[in-house]
Amino acid sequence: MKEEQVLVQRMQQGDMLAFRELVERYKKNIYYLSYDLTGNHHDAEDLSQEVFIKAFRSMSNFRGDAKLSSWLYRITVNTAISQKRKKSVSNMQLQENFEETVNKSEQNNKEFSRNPEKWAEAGLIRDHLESAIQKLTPRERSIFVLRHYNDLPQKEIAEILKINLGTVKSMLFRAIKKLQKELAFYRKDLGLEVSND
Amino acid sequence: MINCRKYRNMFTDVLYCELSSDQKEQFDLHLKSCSKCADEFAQMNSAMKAMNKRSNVEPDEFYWEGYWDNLVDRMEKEEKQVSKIALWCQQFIEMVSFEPKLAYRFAGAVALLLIGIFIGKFYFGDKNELTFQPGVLEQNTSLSAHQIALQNRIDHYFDRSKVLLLGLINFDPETEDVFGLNLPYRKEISQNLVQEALVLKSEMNDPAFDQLKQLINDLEIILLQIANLESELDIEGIELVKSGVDRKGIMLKINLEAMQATGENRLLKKDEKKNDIM
Repeated sequence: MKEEQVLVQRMQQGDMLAFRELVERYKKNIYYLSYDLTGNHHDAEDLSQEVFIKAFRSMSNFRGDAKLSSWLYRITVNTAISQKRKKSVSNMQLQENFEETVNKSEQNNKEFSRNPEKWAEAGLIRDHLESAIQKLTPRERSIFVLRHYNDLPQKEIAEILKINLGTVKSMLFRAIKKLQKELAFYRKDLGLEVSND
Repeated sequence: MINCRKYRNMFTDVLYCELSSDQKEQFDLHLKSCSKCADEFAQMNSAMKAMNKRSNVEPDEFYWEGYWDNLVDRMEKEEKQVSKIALWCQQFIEMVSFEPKLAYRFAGAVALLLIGIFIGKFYFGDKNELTFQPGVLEQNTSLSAHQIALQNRIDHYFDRSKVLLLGLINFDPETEDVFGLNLPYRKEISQNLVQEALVLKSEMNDPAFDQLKQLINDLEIILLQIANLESELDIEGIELVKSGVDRKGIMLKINLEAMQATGENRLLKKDEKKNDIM
């Protein structure tokens, strides 16, 4: 914590090296969280960069009463939610998605040539799970990915999102229920043992 | 049932191992005795296991090595854009300050534009705003100032209720974030409107207001439901409100009332009816 305080102080004094240290330390965490929230590399890259730029510009506002990582997570979630709201289904987005699909398919072709059966199965499962997550509301998705994929306790999520613990629990419950409903559709592909009505 | 609810609230804690050992023991005991909860928990657990199959994307090392450079590039580009705009503004100010003639021309163009807008509005705008209608004024003077004020307050009351209800009935829990609704704020507004309804009803003694009184009564029930919503996540409560609005045709009645109010004065119509009878 003391080391973190020093880093924050250096950044608040405009030390670019300190900012680089922060980026190197958290780039992977922020990128993975961004990927979980957006569901594709292009948007995840854009979002994670945006987070660091925002952090750089608003470092003077950071009071140090929360962990640096929590602060960055909060910026990530809030930026993702506001980006999602702003983004309508425009031609530009379709174009982006198209480019993303092309890049993905190029990468997939390479993997396919190595192990076609395994690749097809993994791809199918990945698509099902990704589409299920993307059907959650931005707030539910944030809570779910912070808990499930980033392993943050519910209490810490409540602090990050500045909502009460009860709300986190009920939203998480609702998110899991929705996912369960979505995945029931692909039960066979995913090899779920328990039946779902 | 109450017991089941208590243990259902623990589901997420158990799924993510956030319960103390004592609580976990109690939870397990309950699951052994309640097949419904056991089945529901097993299904959720199964869905969670399936979510673990989601493989993490792993960009290559090259991507991570270039991450800082890409970030700096983007920051520089954004800064350049900002400084470009600042530069344009600065150049414009400098140009204007060096050449006062240009500033006069610019000010002249703005003034001409404003005059054009004014003339356009005067000649082609809404005539009702400008024309004097002696008949209406004459008729309105036959109403007491209190009645006119009351009627305006009723119209305003319906307008506010309509705005409040529109947000709720258009809310789709499947696609929208419930936090976007800002329920605490809506609950507060509903409480205010319920109080206002009581005051309005006590003043609506004229029989001409009977129909409106009934609408306010119907609306009051809906507003009380909103004011009593349990939490920010009370989706079931919102659905109940929506079905109540739909069942009683509240929006349709409010819209009809608004149309009537803009058409003719309600109290004047009552006077006309009296005259017809006489």
